[in-house]
Amino acid sequence: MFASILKRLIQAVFVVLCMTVIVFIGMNLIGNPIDLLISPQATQAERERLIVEFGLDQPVWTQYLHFLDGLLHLDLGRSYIFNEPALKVILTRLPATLELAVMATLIAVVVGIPLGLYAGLRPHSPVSRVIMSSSILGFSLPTFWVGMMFIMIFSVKLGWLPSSGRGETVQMLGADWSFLTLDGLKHMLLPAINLALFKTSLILRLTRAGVAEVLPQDYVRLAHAKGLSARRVTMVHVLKNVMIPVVTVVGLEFGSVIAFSVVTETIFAWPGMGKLIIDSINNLDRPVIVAYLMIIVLLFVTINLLVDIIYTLLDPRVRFASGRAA
Amino acid sequence: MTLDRRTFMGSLGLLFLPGTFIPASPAFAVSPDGTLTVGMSSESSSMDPHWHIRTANSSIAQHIFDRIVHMDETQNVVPGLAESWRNVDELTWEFTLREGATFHNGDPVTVEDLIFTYERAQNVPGAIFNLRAYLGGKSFEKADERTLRVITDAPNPIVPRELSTTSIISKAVGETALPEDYNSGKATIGTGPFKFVAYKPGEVIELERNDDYWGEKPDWSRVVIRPIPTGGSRVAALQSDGVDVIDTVPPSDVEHLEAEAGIALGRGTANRMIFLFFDHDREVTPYVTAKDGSEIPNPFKNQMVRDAFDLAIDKKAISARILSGNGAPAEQLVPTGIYGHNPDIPLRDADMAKAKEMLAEAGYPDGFKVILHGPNDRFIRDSAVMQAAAQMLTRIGVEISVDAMPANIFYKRASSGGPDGVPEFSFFLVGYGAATGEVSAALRNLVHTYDKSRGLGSNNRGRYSNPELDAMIEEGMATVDDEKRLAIYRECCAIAVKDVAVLPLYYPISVWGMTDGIDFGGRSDERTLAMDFHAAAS
Repeated sequence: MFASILKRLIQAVFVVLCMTVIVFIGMNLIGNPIDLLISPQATQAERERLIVEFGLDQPVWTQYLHFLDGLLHLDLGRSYIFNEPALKVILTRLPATLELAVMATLIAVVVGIPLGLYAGLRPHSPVSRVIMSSSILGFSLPTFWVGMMFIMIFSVKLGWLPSSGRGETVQMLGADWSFLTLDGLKHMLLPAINLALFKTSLILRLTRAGVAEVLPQDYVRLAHAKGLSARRVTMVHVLKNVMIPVVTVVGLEFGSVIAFSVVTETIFAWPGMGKLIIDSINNLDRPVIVAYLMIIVLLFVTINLLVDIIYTLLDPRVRFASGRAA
Repeated sequence: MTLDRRTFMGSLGLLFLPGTFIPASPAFAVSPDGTLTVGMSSESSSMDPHWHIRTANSSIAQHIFDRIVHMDETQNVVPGLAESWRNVDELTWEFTLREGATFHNGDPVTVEDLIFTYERAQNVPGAIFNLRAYLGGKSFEKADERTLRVITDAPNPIVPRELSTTSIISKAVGETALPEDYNSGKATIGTGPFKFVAYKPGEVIELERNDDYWGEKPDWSRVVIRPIPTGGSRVAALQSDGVDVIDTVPPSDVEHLEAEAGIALGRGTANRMIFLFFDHDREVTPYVTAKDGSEIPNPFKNQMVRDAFDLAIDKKAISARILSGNGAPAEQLVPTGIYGHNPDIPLRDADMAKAKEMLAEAGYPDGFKVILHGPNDRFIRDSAVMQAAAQMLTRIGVEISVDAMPANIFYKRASSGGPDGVPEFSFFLVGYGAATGEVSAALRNLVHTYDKSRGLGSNNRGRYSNPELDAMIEEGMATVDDEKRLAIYRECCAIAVKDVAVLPLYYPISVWGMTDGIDFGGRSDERTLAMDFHAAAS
């Protein structure tokens, strides 16, 4: 186990390094932030002075080596836009994204798995058909449109829920959290459902397909034949076997919500990281872009690791195989 | 799975059903001395007032900090921390500080604070939008306890306007402050009508009224500013959330908000010109060819071709239809009301037939082929504006295609994308607005000949050059007398327009939305200031 974690970490470092090289070259091809942000009144000499000050007159590889040097001292550079260390800019926005992602994933799991299970166990009931056909809407309607519709209906027309922002927050572990207050939860509900819609449909369909596949298996029949209660057969024998692909997808989806929930965050003015990365790309704020992508790579590696650990808990075969390998 | 049409349509119908419910009660009433909540389209990137001079940052800074002089709604200079100022001689200005102005920590404002501020504002490490552009070429000294003397390297008539860009900070606080201290509020101590309460990036900025303010005290005891970047969400927040004021109402929402009870709109024509620029310089310009694709000499060097283009584009139609009234048709470099505007320059009606004749007379009876470049995320509906202009030009026989790209790519290519770092494009859409609020910046940076050593024509990406105009601009720049200078600048504008140095399209109109019960007069500098909004007496 320990050896495989170590191997993963070494891989992660390589991925991060490759990514920084790609980002550096890519950013350099696009343009430079000076042309975009300089005062229209600045003179030509001023412009050149700034380019030198930012080191943008150096060849890309010199800039890159300089960046690596900073990295060794855990310094990812200062944001061109925010006048703060890039890492700090990102980390102050992390809690908002994190709580929204957790909430959305929770909704997706709590709603998606039972509904999928039901649709799998009773494939021909009318309720199952409604569930399955609504799930098509869940992943085919664009997030943007659904978000705007939610705002139109629940905020503007009905006035039940707020349309934007985080609401009241409470300090915990040095960060602000909305999920600890009623007002914050109200603010979180619409964006969380908006994000969860696609995921719920995905999990629902995966669960249903899994159930349909597992039900005719011999061990399920055996369990029934042994006289186990239907409830026990479903909850233990069926569900456990269905869960492996579901856990993989939940893990990956959780990562992608954190990294790319930009559309929802923008519509609901949710101050998370997704909005930050788009703004940073538009402004060519290179330190923030690089730091952000590095964090995302590390995040995905961590999530995959966690998913693997959960596998071993769910499936003894995986546990024994990795045990031998170690 | 079988997809049953009935269940599918049934679920679809569920989505639309709630839309028919009764609307909720309209927005909250505003009360004087209460809280004003503002939804802004873009957020301040820092609470350090000298970091970036962007509209969003300047708006926020102006709540907390004063300047030595302020700009009113149409960018005329009015007293700020200086109650009066005078021009001693061509190179010397004296500003007299008002009595009784204090910082939020209780310290009185002194001449030392001013001198420290101007020094610091030019040297914030890492600041791209650097205030050196406004503060350079000046030295600051203390004449007496209440008088600041400013000595310029060359005669400079717009010293007060240039100084109005810079927020005054306290020397005692600023000397030891780190950049981070401005965002935490520790160093965010000004003399302005509001005090800093809290700043959460991307989320909220909270301010409270400064009851010791020297000037007119605002109507609101508390101001909450929230960034809401999506236009539709901003409008929804105004309709539902107790957001009292929003800026930048999207063109598509103007009409229905105007009709909606409980909501009013306010407008102000921005001192910013969106225009098309020609390549005036190169003999052969890369994005212009004959219709068969063969190389031809640069047609934009001919004034008649430029004039024909100007006449062919129906600016009124673009403003009314493409921009839905969020733009005013432009005929010169600055809109009416701004210093230097020449009232004798008419807005011409578009005339396709005449434009076509002029093009033929200039030697292009069959037109030519050109690519129009521009940003697609910088100005309101920028790519639609370019499409419309291109179609109008097609009608006079010019074969034109539009290449719109993100601003972060466009500006680099437009400034230095060609061989040897020259501007790349032949015909392109850009905008120009100056924080000093008068015409000289546009004249000096946009239409004056590009001259790197003297820092002139720095934004002249079309490399327009007219020695006669250059001489007049320079004369204006050195004329301190306001009346004389105005006459010179008006003449400069007339020459630039006659020569079609640029092809002005429109001045953006900023549209604010607010709940009933708030009075607001509009501004020309695109800033959103809680002080400008008043609780209506009812």
